[in-house]
Amino acid sequence: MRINRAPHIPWLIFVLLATAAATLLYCAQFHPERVPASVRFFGEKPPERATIGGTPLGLVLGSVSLGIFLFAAMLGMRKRLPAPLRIGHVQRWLRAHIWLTLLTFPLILLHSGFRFGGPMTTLLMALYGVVMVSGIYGLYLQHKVPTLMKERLPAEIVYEQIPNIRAQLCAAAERLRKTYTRDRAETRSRDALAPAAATALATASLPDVSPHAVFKTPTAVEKPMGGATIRGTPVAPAAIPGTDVAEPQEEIGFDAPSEATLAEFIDRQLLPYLNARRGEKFRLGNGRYADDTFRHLKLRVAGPYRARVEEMQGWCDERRLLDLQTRMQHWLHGWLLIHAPLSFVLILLTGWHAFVTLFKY
Amino acid sequence: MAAVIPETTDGLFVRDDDEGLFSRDINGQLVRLDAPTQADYDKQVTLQIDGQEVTVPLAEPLKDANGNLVQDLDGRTTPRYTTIYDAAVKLYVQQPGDEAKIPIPTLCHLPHMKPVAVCRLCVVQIYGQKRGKRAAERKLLPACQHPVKNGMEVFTMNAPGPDGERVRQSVKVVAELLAADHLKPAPQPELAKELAPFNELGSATLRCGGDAERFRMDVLSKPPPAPPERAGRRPLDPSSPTFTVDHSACILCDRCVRACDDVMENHVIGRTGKGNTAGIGFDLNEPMGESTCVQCGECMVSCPTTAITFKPVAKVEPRRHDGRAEVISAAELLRDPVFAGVPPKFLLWQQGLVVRRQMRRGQVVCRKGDPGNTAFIIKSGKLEVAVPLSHVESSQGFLGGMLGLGRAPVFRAQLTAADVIAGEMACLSGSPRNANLTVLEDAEIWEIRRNVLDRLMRLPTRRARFERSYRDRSLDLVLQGSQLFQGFGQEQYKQIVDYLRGRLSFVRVSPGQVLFRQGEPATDLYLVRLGHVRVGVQRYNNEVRVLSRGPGTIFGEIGLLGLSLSDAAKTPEQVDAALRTALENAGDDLTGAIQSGVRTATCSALNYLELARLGRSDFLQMVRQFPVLRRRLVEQSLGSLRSETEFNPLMSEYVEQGLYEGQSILVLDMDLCTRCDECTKGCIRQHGDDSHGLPITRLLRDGRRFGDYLVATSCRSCTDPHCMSGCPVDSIHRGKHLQIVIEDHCIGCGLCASNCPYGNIFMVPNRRRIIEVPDADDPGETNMIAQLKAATCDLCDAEGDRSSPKPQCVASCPHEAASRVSGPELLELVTARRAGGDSEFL
Repeated sequence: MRINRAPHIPWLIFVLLATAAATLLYCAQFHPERVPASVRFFGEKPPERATIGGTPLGLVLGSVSLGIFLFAAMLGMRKRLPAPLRIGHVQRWLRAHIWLTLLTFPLILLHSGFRFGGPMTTLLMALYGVVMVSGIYGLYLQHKVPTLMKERLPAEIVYEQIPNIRAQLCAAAERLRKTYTRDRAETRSRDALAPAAATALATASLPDVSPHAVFKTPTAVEKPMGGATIRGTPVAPAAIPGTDVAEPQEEIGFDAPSEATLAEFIDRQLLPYLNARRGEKFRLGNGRYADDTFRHLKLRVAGPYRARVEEMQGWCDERRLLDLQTRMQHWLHGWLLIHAPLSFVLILLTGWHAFVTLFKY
Repeated sequence: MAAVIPETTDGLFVRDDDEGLFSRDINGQLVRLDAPTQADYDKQVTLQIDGQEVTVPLAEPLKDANGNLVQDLDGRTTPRYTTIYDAAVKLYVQQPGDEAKIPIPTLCHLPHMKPVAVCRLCVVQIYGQKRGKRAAERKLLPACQHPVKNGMEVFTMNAPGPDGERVRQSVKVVAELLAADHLKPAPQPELAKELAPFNELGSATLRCGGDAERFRMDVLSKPPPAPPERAGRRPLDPSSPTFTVDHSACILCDRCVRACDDVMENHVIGRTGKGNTAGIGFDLNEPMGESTCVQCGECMVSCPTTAITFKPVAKVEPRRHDGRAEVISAAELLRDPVFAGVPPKFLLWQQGLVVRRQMRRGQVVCRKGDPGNTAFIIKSGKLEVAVPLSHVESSQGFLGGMLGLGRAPVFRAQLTAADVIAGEMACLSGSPRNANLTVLEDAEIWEIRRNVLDRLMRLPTRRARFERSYRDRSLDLVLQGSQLFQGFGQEQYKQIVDYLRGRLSFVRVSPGQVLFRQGEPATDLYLVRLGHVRVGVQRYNNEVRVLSRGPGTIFGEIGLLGLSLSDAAKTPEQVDAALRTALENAGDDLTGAIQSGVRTATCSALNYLELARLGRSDFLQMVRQFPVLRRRLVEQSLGSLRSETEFNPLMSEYVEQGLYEGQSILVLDMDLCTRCDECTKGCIRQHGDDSHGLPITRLLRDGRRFGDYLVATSCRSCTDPHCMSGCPVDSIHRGKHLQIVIEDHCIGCGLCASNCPYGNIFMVPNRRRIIEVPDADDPGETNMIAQLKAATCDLCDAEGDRSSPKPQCVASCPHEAASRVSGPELLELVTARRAGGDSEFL
C-alpha cells in the first residue's frame, strides 16, 4: 500500500480544500473578526454559545464526521459482499477510507472548538486519538514493511503454511536424531571388529536426510529475487517427513564421537529451537551466534559429518526466516487488532454522544 | 513427438527404432539390412490384388502415431516400405467410407499405429517370381506388414479359387478361435446392447463366415489355475471410475499397448503373464484404478473387443452460439462418410461432440479473434471466408483517409461442401480465429470439437486433405502476419506474396529442437507463424543474451545477408548500398553474389513451432527484386547486431520462467502487496461452490518472482496452451477472452494438470459428481468418492458474458498490487522499474 501514488493526489487535494473550507466556515461563524469582511457569511457578531458542537455549524461538522466514521467502517463489509452488491472498486473504497478519515481530524477539532469538554467527550477524543494513531501507524507499516519483506525474505511463503513448514523442519531433525541413537552407536562399535558386517549395517542405517533427498518445502528452493537485495542467509533445503523414497546415500565412515556430538547438539540445541513457538530467544535464533555455533560444531565432528552440520544450519536459517516472516506479518497486520475493535467502540460511543447531545440537552 | 533426424549414409537413412525390423546375431551384430532409402519413393511397384492391378511407390514416408510425417528440419522424411495393405487401401478406397470395401480384415492393425501382425486375420496368399518362374509363398503372410514387390500377385479372402479358399479357411478358423474365447458382451448390461454391433471381433467373425460357438470352451471365463501373485491375466477389473476392464475379452492385439505407449506416450499398459495367463497389465499388473493410468480413454477407443469399455460420463453440453443447434447422435455420425473410420466407441462414449447448425444467409459462423475451439464440416450451402488484411495500406484516397472512411483490404474466398472443412486451423493450433466466416447461402454445418478433429486427422484420407489445406492456409497467414510485410501498399504486397507463395515451405518443430547453432553457415530464413523461438547468443562460452521471438517475427536474416558483429557500426545506407551493388553485379546465380554468412545466434524451439522457411537463393532473389524489403531487413539486422552487445539480465529469467507465452499473468507488486490474501479470498467468493460443490481457489499467492513482482500460481492463458493438448473428452478449451475454461464433463484424468508446466491447474474432488468405486481392501464392497475435476482461472467469465474480463483477484486487491498483464508487458514493467522509470506519483 502506497499513498504517494497518482490516484491519491485528487484525494489529497480534496482533503486540503475541505479542511480549508471547514476552517473558513468555522472562522466566519465563531471568529468573524479574524476573516475578511467578504467572507463573513454569518454576520459580524459571534453567536452566544455554550459549546461549539451544539451550534448548527458544529452539528454539521459532527454529523459529517460521524458519517465518515460509518462509511469507514463499511470497508470491511464491502469486501465480503456478494458480487451484485459490490459498489465501486475496493481500491477506491480504501482510498476514500484513508483520506476521509484523515479529514475527520480537522472536522472534529473544529466541531469540538479545540476543547475536550466533559468526561464523555474527553473519552471520545482519547478513543478517536488512539484509532487515528493506530490507523496512521498501520498506514505507515503497510507503506514500508512490504518492501522490507521483499528484500529480506527471498523465499517468502504463504503465511498460513508456516506452521507446516516448521513441523517439517522438526520432523527432519527428529529423523536425523534417530539415526544417532546410542544403541546404534554401540552396535556399530561392536561390529567394528567385523568390517563387512559393519559396512553393511552402516549403509543400511545411514541418516536418511541428505542434500540429495526430496527436500522440497515451498521455501526450500530459493526463489529468484529479480534484483532485490538479498540480506537473508542463503536457505538450505529442509526435509519432508515420512518420505519413504529411497535416495542414494553418500558413503561416510562411522565415527562414534562425531555422532555422539551431533546427537547431543540436536537434543540440547537444535530440537528445542526448532520445536519452540518463538525462536528468537534461542542462541540459534540469532544468525551471528548460529554461524559461530555451527562453525565450532564442524570442528568437533569428522569430515564426512560436516555435510550434516551444514544441513542442520540450513534448517536453522530457514527457521529464522520463517520467524522473521512471522514477525513482519504481525507488524503488517497486528495494528488492526487495536484499530478495528476500537473503531467500532468509537462509532458506538459517538452515536451515543450524538443521541445524548441532541435529545437530552 | 520429437522429430527424429536420420543418420545419413550415402543416401541411406537408418533410424534407430528401425532396428526392430532386423535380426541380430548372438553378438548383437546386424545380420540383415534391408532398409528403404529415399530413392525408393520414386520406384513404382505394380502388383495384382485379386486380379486387379495397382501401382504404388516402393516406399512411403514414415508417420508417427498421430499420423504426422516424421521429418527433419530440412523436410526430409524417413522412408518405410509400402505394405500390401497400403496397396489395397489405394486400390479400394477412393473416398471416405470406402474402407469397408478392403477385402483384408484386420483386428490388430490401425492406420496410425505401427503394424505388429499379431492377429493374423489379414493374411493373404502371395505369388512371386522364383528363378524366373511364378511361385507361391509357402506360408500365408500378413498384409499389414509385408512389403510390396514388383509383379507380386496377392489373393485375399475375396478371391475365387483355391488360393482364396485357403485364405478364407485360415482367416475363418483364426476368427472363430479368437471369438470362442473372447467374444463377450460388455460387462455393463446397459452398454452391452449398444456396443454389440461395434465389437470388431464379432464383425470380423461374421465377415469371415465363422461361427463363434464352434470352438467355445469357456476356458478363460474361469480363473486360471492358481496364478502367482502379480502375474497373469486379472479377473474383471471395475476399479477405474471411468472404464471397465474385462481381461477375459482381451485378444492381445496390443492396440491398447500401442495407444498408451505411442499415441499418448503414457507408458502405463504392457504385457503380463505367459501362456494362458498372458494378458495386458497396468503398471506392474495393478488394477486400472490403482495404477498410474490417467484415464485418457485412448486404450478403450482402440480396443477392438469389449475388453476395455467405458462407464457413462457427464453429458457434453453444446456450446452457445447463433442459429439452431442440435446434437447429432452417434448412430448418424457412424453412417456419415466423413466419420467412417472414427472408432464407434469414441462417438458412443461422449455424445454431444458434434452438433448440427442450420444457418441462414448472412449469419456469422465465427469472427476473427474468437476462440477457435471447434471446426466446421460443411454439409451444404456456401460460406465466405473474409480475412481483413489490416497490415496492408488501404487505398482509400486522401479524403477517405481524412474522414476515416477507408477500410483495410479484405481477402475473400468461398467454401462449399466440396471443401469439407473450415475453421480447422484455429482448432488444431489452439489459437484464435484468423478469419470471419459468414453464410452466403443457407447452410448446414456440423460443428466438431477438437478431439473429434484429432480423430479425423488420424485417418489417412481425411488427414491428407485437411493437412494440405492447413499448410496452404498457414503459409498465407504467415505472410499476412509477418512484421516484415507490414505497411506495404496493396500492389507491392501482392507482388511480394506472389513471389513467396510458391517458394516458402512449411515446417513444424518440436519443443527443445535446435533450428541452427551459432557459427553454422546460414542457409534459410524463417518466419514464425505459431510458437516462440529462443535466440541465445554466446560469447566466450557464456550465453550473454537470450531473446524470445513470437508469432509474426523473422529470424535467420543476418547470416543470409552476410552480416556479422563487425557490421554493427555501419549505417543502414552503407550496408544497403553494398548489398545492392553486389546483387546487381551478379548474374542469374545469386548464391555467389554475397558471401555466405554464419549464424550469429543459436535458435531453438521453446514450444511447438510452425514456421515458413525460405531458402538462401530465393531469399537473395527476393532482396534483389524488392529493395524496400531489403532495406527493412538491413535495418532489422543491424538493430539486432547492435543490441547483441547489450546484456539484459532479465531476459534469460523471462524465458526460463516461460513468461513470454503468458497472455494474462497474475502478478503482485511486492512493494505494494500487504499479504492480506484478499486476492485469494476474492477468487473463492466469486466462484463459490458452483463448479466443485465446495469453495475453492483458483490461485495461490505463491510462486517465483520476476523483478519486484510475484508471478502468482494462476493460469496465464498461454498463447500455446499446453494444457489443451490431448484432453480425451475436450473439456478444456479457450473462452471468449482466450482464457482457459474447464467444462463440467471433465473426467478428472489430470492430463491438463500434468501438461501445464507452471502448475496452474488444480485437480480438486468434485462433490457434485459422486461415483462408486470398489473398495481395494474389502472385495465386494464399494466406496462413494468424489470424482476429481480440474480447476483453473477462467478470468471470472467462464460463460463469456462480459465484454472484457474482470478477474476478482485483481478487483479484490485494495492495495493496487495485483494486476493481470501479458508477458511482454511484464518485461516492460520490470525493465522500466530497473531503469528507474517507475517513480512515485506515476
